Amino acid sequence: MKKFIDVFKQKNMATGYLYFYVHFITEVVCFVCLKRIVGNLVILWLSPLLYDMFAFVPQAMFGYIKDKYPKFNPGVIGTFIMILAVINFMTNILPLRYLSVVILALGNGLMHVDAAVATLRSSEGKLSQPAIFVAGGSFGVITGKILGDTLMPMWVLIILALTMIPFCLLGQSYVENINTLKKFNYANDKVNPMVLILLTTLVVIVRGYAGYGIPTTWNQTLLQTVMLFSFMGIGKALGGIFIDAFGMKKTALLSVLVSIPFLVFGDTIMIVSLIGTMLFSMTMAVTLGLLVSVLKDNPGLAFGYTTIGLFLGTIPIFFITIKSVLINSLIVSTLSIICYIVLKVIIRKEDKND
Amino acid sequence: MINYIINSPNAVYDKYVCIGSFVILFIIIALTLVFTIKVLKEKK
Repeated sequence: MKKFIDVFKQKNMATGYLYFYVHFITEVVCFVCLKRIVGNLVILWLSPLLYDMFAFVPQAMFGYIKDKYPKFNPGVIGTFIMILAVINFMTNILPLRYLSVVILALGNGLMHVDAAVATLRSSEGKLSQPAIFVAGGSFGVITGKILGDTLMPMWVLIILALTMIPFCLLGQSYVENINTLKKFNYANDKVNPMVLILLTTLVVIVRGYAGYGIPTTWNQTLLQTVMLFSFMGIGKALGGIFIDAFGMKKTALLSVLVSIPFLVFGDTIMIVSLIGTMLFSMTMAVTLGLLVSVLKDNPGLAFGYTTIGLFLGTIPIFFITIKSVLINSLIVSTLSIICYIVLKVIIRKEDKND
Repeated sequence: MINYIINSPNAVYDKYVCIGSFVILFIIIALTLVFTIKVLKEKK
């Protein structure tokens, strides 16, 4: 317990909290807009696909640019791009059907890169800060979905987006010398770096897919959906905190293997499923830590691999629907075991004094 | 849904948006891999 509490006394924890807010607001703005898209079935099908595509995939490129040109400020640029998208949602000045969605997604991607690079650069090899920033997204998604169904006027989103700028600028002030990134040392040196990157991305793809395959028949009401997203967010934050407190290997075991029975047997029992979802969400910090350990001078590029993996993992859900709970459970279990074997190979053996 | 987009003459615009986006997607992923290899070579 002491180890767990000590994590919160780490240096620069504030960046995690600052970017938790930025991530939260980013997702609120995006999901209110997405929730209000109306039209025929094709528009309702293609808009989320395009949004995921342009929000997740270009982050690696944005990250690479940020790594190469540290003065590039994706946070402020991303805020104004998102505001432009909101204005276009309100006015339809740019007439192309999917343009607002693409602009919104690009703004979202830029915000993520700003937050990821700032938290990773300032965390001195720890993962709590980036994990806390990532957690904000789950709360933002569900809040955005709820607000999207209300009568809240769209101009409120512009005000909300503008409030992110001081948080981004303050977060940037914590960013320290690039050399602190050398402290990320979670990956097994014996594995070829490119192979390690691809294997870690494979784990993200598998987990991204499994995330949508988790059987949750119990989830019927708005309150239950709020609980699901909240536990997802708590799990993401706990992933980083657990790694800092108890080590990468133990966290990987907990999040990948221990989560299986909770996910499979929690189909109709909410609390069991929520524990499973929380444990399952902890994998995010594990994969991010591994990628930054290989791409030490390029935290933006490393973060981009996790988002590319997430997008590739979610592609199947746009094209295939598996309705059988048994088949879903089997897929989730098998994929999780494969992930654990891969992680066991690519995570560095921890020293006793780690 | 994907069958509708591929087969329906009414969904030509959506079809091109969908295919075009996937092309852009693969170009970005290819560029990411190229830059990663470059970064790893520089590191050596």
